Amino acid sequence: MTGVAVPRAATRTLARDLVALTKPRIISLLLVTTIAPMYVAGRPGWALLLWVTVGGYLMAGGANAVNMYLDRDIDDRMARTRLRPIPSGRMQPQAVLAFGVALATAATFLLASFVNVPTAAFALAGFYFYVFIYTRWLKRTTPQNIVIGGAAGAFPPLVGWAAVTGGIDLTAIFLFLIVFYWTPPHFWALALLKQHDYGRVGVPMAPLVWGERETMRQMLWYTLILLPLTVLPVAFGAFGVVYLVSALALGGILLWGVVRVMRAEQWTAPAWWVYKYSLLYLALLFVAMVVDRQLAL
Amino acid sequence: MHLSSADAIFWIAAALCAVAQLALLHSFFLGASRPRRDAAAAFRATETLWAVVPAVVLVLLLAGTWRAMHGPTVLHWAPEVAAGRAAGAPP
Repeated sequence: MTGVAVPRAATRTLARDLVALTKPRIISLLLVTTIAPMYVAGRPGWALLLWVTVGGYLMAGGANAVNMYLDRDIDDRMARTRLRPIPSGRMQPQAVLAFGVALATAATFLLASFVNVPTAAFALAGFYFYVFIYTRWLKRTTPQNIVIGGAAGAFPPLVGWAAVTGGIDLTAIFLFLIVFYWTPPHFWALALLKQHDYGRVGVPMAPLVWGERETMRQMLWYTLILLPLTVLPVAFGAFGVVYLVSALALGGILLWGVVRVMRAEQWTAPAWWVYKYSLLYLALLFVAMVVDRQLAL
Repeated sequence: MHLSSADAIFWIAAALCAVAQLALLHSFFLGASRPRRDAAAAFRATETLWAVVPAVVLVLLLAGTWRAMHGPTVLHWAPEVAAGRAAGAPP
């Protein structure tokens, strides 16, 4: 009885760790920004939706696992990450690397075989960008790490768009850039809160290098680029009034949140609010795109 | 001169983007986010690249948007389309 119970518990722990390596909560938002563009670009069938979802999850999960492998030397010194499978000693680094590469390989095969080659190429580009450009190069060398590295998180809309159309167009590029310009205010809100953690391990996040107030100012500038970018697709007919009103309302609330961070003496609570709201903002913005397009059909 | 609502959206958005992007560039070249003077030349060069590339992309995007609003063709890229054009096939 005990001999059976122990392996079962170990299997359950391993399964939990494997899922944790993929960072499922982060992927859920990535999948929203993958699937919503599919419904903006056309009318995907269930099979296509399934393959893109599975392939997208595996690719992003693989990137996250390789990221945990590369960051294993700092993860055990940060409160936010020290319970991850490698720093807690539950998994060997090489096993995590192999798992990540295997997921990315499977995703590439799946997307290229059952969707199309451009979709697989965009997904793989996102993987490489996240692993090599962001994690390996920028994260530990420049305070602009998440500005340029944020492009990695902007590939999902291209993946979804290419899955339906076989390529990309101006609307898809807008979706890419909306996520790109959304990333700094979103992530710097978290960086403000976790800056001491980053400082302890020598990651040059903006608040540590530029100071808190300059980081807040830059959050405002990026938000002021993001908002017009969300509205511009209306100008060339990609979206209609429903989306326009939604984008203005959602963006206005985000702008208000960022201004509140800038004006607050005690900015911890407002920064948390911006971090959490920005997640909701991006999801709702993409949902608004779908609703607008579906109403127009 | 008649200004359509699409044109109005474009110019207001472009103006906002320009002001915010110029503020970011000002901060990088003259303000609090400029690289330290004692930083290595290679580091300063890549930092400058990271600051300038998004601005260039933004300008290209605005130009592409204007073209999509007023130009004869809609931008679309797909491998089979590109291959067809390269082979001389009609788009």
